Amino acid sequence: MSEPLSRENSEHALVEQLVTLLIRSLRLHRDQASSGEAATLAAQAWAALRNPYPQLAERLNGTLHYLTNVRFSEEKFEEETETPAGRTLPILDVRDAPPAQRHEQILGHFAALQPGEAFIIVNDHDPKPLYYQLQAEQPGKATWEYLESGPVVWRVRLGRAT
Amino acid sequence: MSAKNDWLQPQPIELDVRLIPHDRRHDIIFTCLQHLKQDQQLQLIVDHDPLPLRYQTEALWPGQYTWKYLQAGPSVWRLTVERSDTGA
Repeated sequence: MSEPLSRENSEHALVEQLVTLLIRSLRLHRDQASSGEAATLAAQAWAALRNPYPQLAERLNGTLHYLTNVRFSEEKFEEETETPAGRTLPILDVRDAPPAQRHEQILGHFAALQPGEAFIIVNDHDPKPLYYQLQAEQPGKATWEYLESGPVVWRVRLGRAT
Repeated sequence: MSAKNDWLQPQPIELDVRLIPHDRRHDIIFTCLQHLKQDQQLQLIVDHDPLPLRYQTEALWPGQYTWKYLQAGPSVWRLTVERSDTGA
């Protein structure tokens, strides 16, 4: 985390920051008369990012689903990541889920965990309120570890205590 | 490609998108779209309105595909997609 930013890294960080701002402004158009035009712009941004920044493009894909009010019957576990122990953990990226559905999605996956299992939450703000909710409702059942704490992305390893 | 030679017509591609994991759906459909021949149909069965996909297709290949809804919800959407660039 503290290694000096190379030019490439800082450019990537800038693009990521601009994409975050773009997404925030596009999301304001949901359920407005302008939502179709916002979706067209989101699709164009997606097309532009698709090859150089596939992960950022995926966020605009999520924005498109948000703008067009698509409801999935199930959430996606979109990728896996290595843990220090060499196992892979599923990642639940809720950044482009409607905020109202984020807790529900995360709690749904938490409910399905066996003791000792975990997954990684990716969010665009600190999901601390969810931690308080878990502590209040299911004290001692959850393990909560920050892997990345902003300023743009938060990654938390959420596990079921053994 | 006269109507008499029906057996020469390319067969429609049928894709039940519901069976594909969410994160692979768009890429697979894009591949099908790119390989679609003139006069060949792609038939899609989806569990939601594939609007995001249509916006993306339009961004990648403006005006090239025509979408027709055969069934629009509430739980299943059936569509046919055809190339609309004649190129002839």
